Amino acid sequence: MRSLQMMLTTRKISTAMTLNGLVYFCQKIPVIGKAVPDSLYGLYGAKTVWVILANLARLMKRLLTKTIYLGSLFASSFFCAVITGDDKNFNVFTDVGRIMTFFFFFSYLAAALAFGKALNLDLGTDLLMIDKMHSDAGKYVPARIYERKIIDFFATIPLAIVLSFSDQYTIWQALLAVFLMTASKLAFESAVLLCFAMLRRVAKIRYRILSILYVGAGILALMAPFYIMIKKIPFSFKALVFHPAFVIGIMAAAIASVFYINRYTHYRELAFVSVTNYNLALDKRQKEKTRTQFGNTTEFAAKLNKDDLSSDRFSHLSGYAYFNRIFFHRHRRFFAKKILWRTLLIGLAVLAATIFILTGNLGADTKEKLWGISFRILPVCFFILYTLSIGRTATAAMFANCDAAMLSYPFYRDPKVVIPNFYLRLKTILRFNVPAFSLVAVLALMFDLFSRAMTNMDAALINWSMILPYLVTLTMMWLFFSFHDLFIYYILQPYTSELGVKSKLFSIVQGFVWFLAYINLQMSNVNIWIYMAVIIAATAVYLIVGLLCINKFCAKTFRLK
Amino acid sequence: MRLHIHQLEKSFGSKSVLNGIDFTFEQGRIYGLLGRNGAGKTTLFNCLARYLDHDRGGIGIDLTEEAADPQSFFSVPRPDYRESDIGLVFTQPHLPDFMTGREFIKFFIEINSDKVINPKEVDEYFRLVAFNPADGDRLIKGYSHGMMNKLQMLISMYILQPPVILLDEPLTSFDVVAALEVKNMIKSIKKDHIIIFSTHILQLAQDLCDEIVVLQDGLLRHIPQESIHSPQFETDIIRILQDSPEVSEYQQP
Repeated sequence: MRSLQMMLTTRKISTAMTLNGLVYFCQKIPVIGKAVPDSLYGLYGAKTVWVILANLARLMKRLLTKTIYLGSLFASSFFCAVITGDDKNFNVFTDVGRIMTFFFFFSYLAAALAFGKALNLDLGTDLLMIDKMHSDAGKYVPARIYERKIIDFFATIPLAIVLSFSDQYTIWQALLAVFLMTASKLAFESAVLLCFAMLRRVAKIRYRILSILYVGAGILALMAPFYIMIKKIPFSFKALVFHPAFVIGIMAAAIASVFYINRYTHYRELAFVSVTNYNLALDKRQKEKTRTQFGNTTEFAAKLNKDDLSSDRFSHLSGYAYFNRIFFHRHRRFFAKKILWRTLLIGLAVLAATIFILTGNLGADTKEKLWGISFRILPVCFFILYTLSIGRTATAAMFANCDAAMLSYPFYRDPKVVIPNFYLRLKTILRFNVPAFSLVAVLALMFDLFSRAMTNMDAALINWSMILPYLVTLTMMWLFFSFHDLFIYYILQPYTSELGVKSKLFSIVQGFVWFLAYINLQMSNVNIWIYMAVIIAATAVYLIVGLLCINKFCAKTFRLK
Repeated sequence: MRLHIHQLEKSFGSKSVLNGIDFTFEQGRIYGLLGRNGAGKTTLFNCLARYLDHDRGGIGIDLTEEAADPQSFFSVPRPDYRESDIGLVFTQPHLPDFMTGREFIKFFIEINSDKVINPKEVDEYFRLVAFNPADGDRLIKGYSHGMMNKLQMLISMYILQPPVILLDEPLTSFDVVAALEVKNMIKSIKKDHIIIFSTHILQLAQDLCDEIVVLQDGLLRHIPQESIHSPQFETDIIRILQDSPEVSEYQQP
């Protein structure tokens, strides 16, 4: 009864938080938001009605998920029937043996191993209940486990009904199969808890080991029935599951499991370890994640060596040139890591595409479509360069490690400081972007050249008259991506001292640039001459207008929010 | 009632934070826990509140009236204390953002109904900590640090009323009026509890605490009661915290 009340309250909390989150979200919508009053949070009576509706919807969702699961059993059975050549005789009502083999491996083993509640406590509800609502983990987690099993049992009853329509299972046999599935899942819950109790002293790796073992075993259990079917290994669900030894064994295991679950003492630790590394780390982790994105972590500071901290090599510089060089020198590994990973991924993708084109059996039409015009790859380059540009990372790191503190001093906001600083930084970002952008330029050229040669196109291998505009276009892209993020940073200065983004306009502009990059990815039929002309002209205009804006406004706009 | 700590040890990797603490805290006293940044005050609190497992040693709550030293207390096997026997009030309020204050208190009481002593109406609880009931219908996300701290103190000190209350620098976010209210709150409930209060503000420790303990080198050092109100208190404490060799007059109890 106490568990039931706890679960009801958990549902109420979950729904109340969802509704509050919805009201909060609506309040943040420009214009409309002002019409959403705070008083909505206090409509507790209305929220109770929503609790009922939300939980009905939750049960419906559960039933729907089970129906999809049921469909997957039929689909898997049919797939194996096709592979073994038995598909002509396949009938869901006569071929129940095959379906039940999948049911056994999927539900009795895979789901029980990998999707048990003890192994999958969630951040949104479970940790909140244990940590912030102070509910007794020793009562809460068992209640959640039993709740999951009860709902699971009832949601699987439709399968039992479908089974009873076949001539191989009576309704009672089908219900017994579902009941034993629940017992099996319950037994596996205590196995997870037992493993955790044994591994909990092995610092750091304890939960990871457990997860890998269980999920790995779950995946094997998912694959096993396919192997059994395809290799035509005899397997009878009925003979195994309805064997008295199996029934007694699984029931004994389930009963023992209930005792073990009720007496288990490490739930609180399990909850925190499974979600994050102990309780308070929850908020710290989020902050640390943000700080990592901004290149501002204690770990980063600890990794700085004597050479990083020495500024002698820049003694020939002075003022902000000196200041900026030190900043970028100390952050060079942070930037290099970002660039290296992205470049590696792009390089691998280009390599894979080249191999596909060279070895793939492409028809002549496709080849012509692909290589009819030189440098079809240019719009793709736009997207690639968007992902490779270090501008966003660099501006975020500048803010977190330097400007967040320095902007509080009036001298730092002086036009004589801000504007030269902008140009110094622009030069540095341009330099940082050179390796990745050069690589893309070379790769694109090689890709175009070799693909044409290897696919034996009759047309000229490369249209040499296009080389110059091609290079100018790529140079403009390099200028655009190096300039854009820094320009937006100086004009909108979107970051807060907590390293959040406050400016909605900033999000809109960045979203638009992303959209632009995505649109480029879709431009398979664009006239490449027009494309190059548009890129060159648009970037030139953007740069001119942007630099004028910087000179005129940035001393006023580059402020702390 | 006493809280016994016996040979308590806790390390993080190669870094040893608690090095075999032996101490007994008694009911009806407010203990000020002092220590430099990183000395392990929060780790000690986390171990006591069972948010962290300790490596060696024991922690136990003796609910009897008879005085017993930690060694004899731990020599007899006895059931472990419950998580709910120790309430920890964090420095940073630890509350769900997307709930109203009223919902939080209401649901909190529902969830912990078996532990709540003399449940009251939500508004009555609000009044206990001078929390404006009208603010109860706003999202906690929008609350000030002080308002959140009041809610946190409310659940730990007035709703659950655990025998042991640990306060991890709780007054840092309060304005002068709220700080005074909270100080009075702490004093008003001390009779039935063991209260351990960590702070860096020596004046507050002198003003509020009956006993002072210093966490240094992973051990707790008890400061003689008569020293708390002596003019030399601040100098002495700073000398201890600086690990001065002149601190030998203060021995572990």
